Amino acid sequence: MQEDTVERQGKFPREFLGEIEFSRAAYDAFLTLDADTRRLVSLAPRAEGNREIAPGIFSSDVGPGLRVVFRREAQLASILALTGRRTA
Amino acid sequence: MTRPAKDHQKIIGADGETLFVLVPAADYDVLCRAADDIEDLRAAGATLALGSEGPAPVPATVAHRIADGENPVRVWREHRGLKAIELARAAGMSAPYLSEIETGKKDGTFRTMAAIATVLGVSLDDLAPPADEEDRRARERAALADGIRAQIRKIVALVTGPSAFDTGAVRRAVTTLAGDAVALKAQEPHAEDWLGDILEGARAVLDLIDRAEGDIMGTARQARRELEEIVSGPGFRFTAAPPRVEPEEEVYWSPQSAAE
Repeated sequence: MQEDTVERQGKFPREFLGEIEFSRAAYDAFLTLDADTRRLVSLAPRAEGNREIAPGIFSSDVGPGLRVVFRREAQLASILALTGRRTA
Repeated sequence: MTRPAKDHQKIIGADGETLFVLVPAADYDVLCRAADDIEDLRAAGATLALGSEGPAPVPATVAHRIADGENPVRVWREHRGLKAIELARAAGMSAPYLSEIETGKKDGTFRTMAAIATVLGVSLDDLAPPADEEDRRARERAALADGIRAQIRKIVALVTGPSAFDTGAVRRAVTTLAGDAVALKAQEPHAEDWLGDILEGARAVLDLIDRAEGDIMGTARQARRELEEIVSGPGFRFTAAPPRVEPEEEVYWSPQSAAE
């Protein structure tokens, strides 16, 4: 029900997912997150306010103790790692 | 990134060692951010170092479906564009058996799952269903509770242990403890009593540390004022020609003079 609401509100456009992939380390951490946080993780590469920490590599805060580290290449965002206290 | 200034006020201990550095909040944020960036770069570097020899990335569509509880065999099969009958044939099994695996009615044998993994081009681990949402939440709650216990042990050791009392370390530990307690309280409303006690304790500790640090700062300021008075007094006045001190006649010790 919640997911339906979120999707209808356009907060989690599924078509974006085709432009995102997870490294194995990020995927393993991703599977341990709750559904709401998983949505935030996938939205992170499109969110505003991401910090470029190295050329082409960005970090995004997606909540207390959780950051998404990703690389952008053309239309593809590769989520390289999930970091922060919540992934420890 | 703005580099924090280095001329921060320091509080020096009796042995000359710097005990505290008073950092403006903005600089503190910069330092925390820099520490986060280092952690992020390390994590990114570890993944990038694997290059093409590392495990293949997982498309987000697959990751979300599996995380949402769909059967990994079905998700990967559909991602590879295979029909059930095609996968069953390629893996040397019957289509109904594959269907039972995909619907969770049966667990495949090791041999069957290994054959499916080979056809789908994934590892065997990829086909294991992740823990469900409730398991995840339970594990998250357990991790938070473990974190709270660990921080309490750390705070007790910091306060009662043999090492010098470090208010900064206690403050960090209490802040982490409070963060975990708030997070756990949000997940476990029925645990309000004991978490409420912990949060109250954390507030009390932080109040005490604020007071202690305030006292230290007050003492330092007062000492500085008094030092200013002393150094501006007559005892510290510079005289152009210091009075000449005539050397006294040198006296040498000898057993005979000692006897006298």
